[in-house]
Amino acid sequence: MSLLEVKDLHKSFGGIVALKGAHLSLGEREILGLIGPNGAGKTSLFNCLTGQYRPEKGSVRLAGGPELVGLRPDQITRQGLARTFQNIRLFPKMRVIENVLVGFDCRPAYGFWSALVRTQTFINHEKQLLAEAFELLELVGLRPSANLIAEALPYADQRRLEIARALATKPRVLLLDEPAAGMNPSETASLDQLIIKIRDRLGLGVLLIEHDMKLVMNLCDQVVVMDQGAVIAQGVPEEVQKDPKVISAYLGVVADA
Amino acid sequence: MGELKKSLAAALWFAFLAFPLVGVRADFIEKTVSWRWLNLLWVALGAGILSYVWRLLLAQKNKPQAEWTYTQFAMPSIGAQALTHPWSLALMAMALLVMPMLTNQYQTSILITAMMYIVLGLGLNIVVGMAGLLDLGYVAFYATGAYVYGMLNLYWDWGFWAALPVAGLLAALLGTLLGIPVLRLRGDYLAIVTLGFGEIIRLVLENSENITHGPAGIANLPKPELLWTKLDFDQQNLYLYYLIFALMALAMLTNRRLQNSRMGRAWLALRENELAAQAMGIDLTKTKLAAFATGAFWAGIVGVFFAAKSSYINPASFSFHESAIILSIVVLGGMGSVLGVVLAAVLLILLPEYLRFLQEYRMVIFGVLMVLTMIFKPDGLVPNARPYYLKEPDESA
Repeated sequence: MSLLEVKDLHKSFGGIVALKGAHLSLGEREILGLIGPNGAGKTSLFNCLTGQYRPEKGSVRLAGGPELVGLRPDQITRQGLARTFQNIRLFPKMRVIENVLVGFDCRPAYGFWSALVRTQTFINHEKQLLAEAFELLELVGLRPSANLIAEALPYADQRRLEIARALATKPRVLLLDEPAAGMNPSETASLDQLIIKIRDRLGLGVLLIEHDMKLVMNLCDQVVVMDQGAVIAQGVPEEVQKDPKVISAYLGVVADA
Repeated sequence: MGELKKSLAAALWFAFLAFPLVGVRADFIEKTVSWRWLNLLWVALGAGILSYVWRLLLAQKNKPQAEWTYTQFAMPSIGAQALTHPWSLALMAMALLVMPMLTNQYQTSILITAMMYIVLGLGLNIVVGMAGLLDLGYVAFYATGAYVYGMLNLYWDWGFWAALPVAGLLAALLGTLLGIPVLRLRGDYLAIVTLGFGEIIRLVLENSENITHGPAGIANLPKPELLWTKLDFDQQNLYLYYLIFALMALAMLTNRRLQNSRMGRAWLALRENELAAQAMGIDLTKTKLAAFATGAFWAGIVGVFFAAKSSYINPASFSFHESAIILSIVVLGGMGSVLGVVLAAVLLILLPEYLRFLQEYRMVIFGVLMVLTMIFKPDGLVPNARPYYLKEPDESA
């Protein structure tokens, strides 16, 4: 039984076809790497999954949940699909911990009036959220920076904060769009540890786009390869590496043998 | 000495700028032109000294601190901390409360105006400062409040207190209705549409003569009633003063509380990055409409107060100029900052009053001060400081 099931997604922008029948499936507690050359449609696929784009055709389902295609991004997040962005999109002028607190917004909570009157519900709820937010920051290693303004964080920490913020929505599947982009090797290595820790601790499925092949091959249980809007291979890393279709997508084919 | 040179340049530049204003006097009757070089010298000297002192202070401030840590980096300024300390707040409140007994009616009345603009600024602070929705038609809700009271009184003889909540809620409703068509707009586009909306409301009020009395306006609106007592003129004024003081305190409290709740965080997130906010599960529609409605509510409330205070309203009081002033209050004060709005409103409303002795230079000085503020404090007078979050020890309840 797979946790996330994506079938036959189609998306085009005018005459440009970004996705033609993309499909994948992600198991419970699985880390799935999504790779492919530039322009293969990886980020388009992400945007379709999370509702930023509306695919023309296809289906996205979380196990036991409703059809996600056609829902708004915030509704999809509430269903348990949370993402980070390729180019960091934090709330730069808010404190680090507030960025995480915003992620809690999708949970049922107190209303407008109890915030005004500061009812006991409000106070208890805020305390609870704060405790959870500190725990999440602890998990990604940002506990000491909790009260910094987010834009003051070093680059790699900003990426970690994005992950913590996504986790605050209590997702079942975490989508990471190039989490290691712009990181140096030691930062990448600790990110590797972090993703595994998150998977083990919280029992999530993780889908990640990544160009850093070392990271992908170390980390992922399964790899999906995309080219020109379609999935051309799925399998364990060692297998995929040898697949002739994958090699030709990355390196091109010899014109005439 | 580079600093001295820069100050010299500033002095020359100011003298050059001020030349047409203070350096030449053309007498059109006598047909003579007199040159007033001495004036220019004073301007240059003043600008030069000010600029030099400013630079010295700046250099002082930028000196590296011995124990510089991350947390200090994000600290609100010492001035802001001192001002928001409970004791100083209590002191200021006390001062404001006894003020009308010590001063004359003129002072009381300009303080009333200043406090009205504080409340208006706090309302717009929610929409522009927190949620980042640039609204240039805020005056529309102010007008709505005033006219709701005007018409309820004109046709059904409603009093101030009955009209107050109704007008607030109707303004909030109008805010929501305006919000719906502009949900997808941001930044400049939103600004243009709201600007248009503000003008539409004013024009509708001006042209529906058989309902609103058009440009002639509605007169003889009663002042707020205090139970069944009859107040004389001075007492009325005092009553208005304490009323707006209470409204201001309430507005400050709600602003502050909302800002540090999940509503406020959602608004800030919206301002900071709409796409990410939505990806974090924030319902953009609800959040934006809540901002518009809450902001408009306060404008409606102040609208009623304004109508009761001046006992006469006409559409000319609700021109774009008002929106511009309220927006300046929010921007000058610092987006999202409650203390900033208060300071900026006080400056923007009281300064032109207290500068009257400068006569025709009044607005020039005013303009210069505003430009200087924006150059040296681009984040506003009191940039919005977010609270600190501490983890409580687990054993405490």
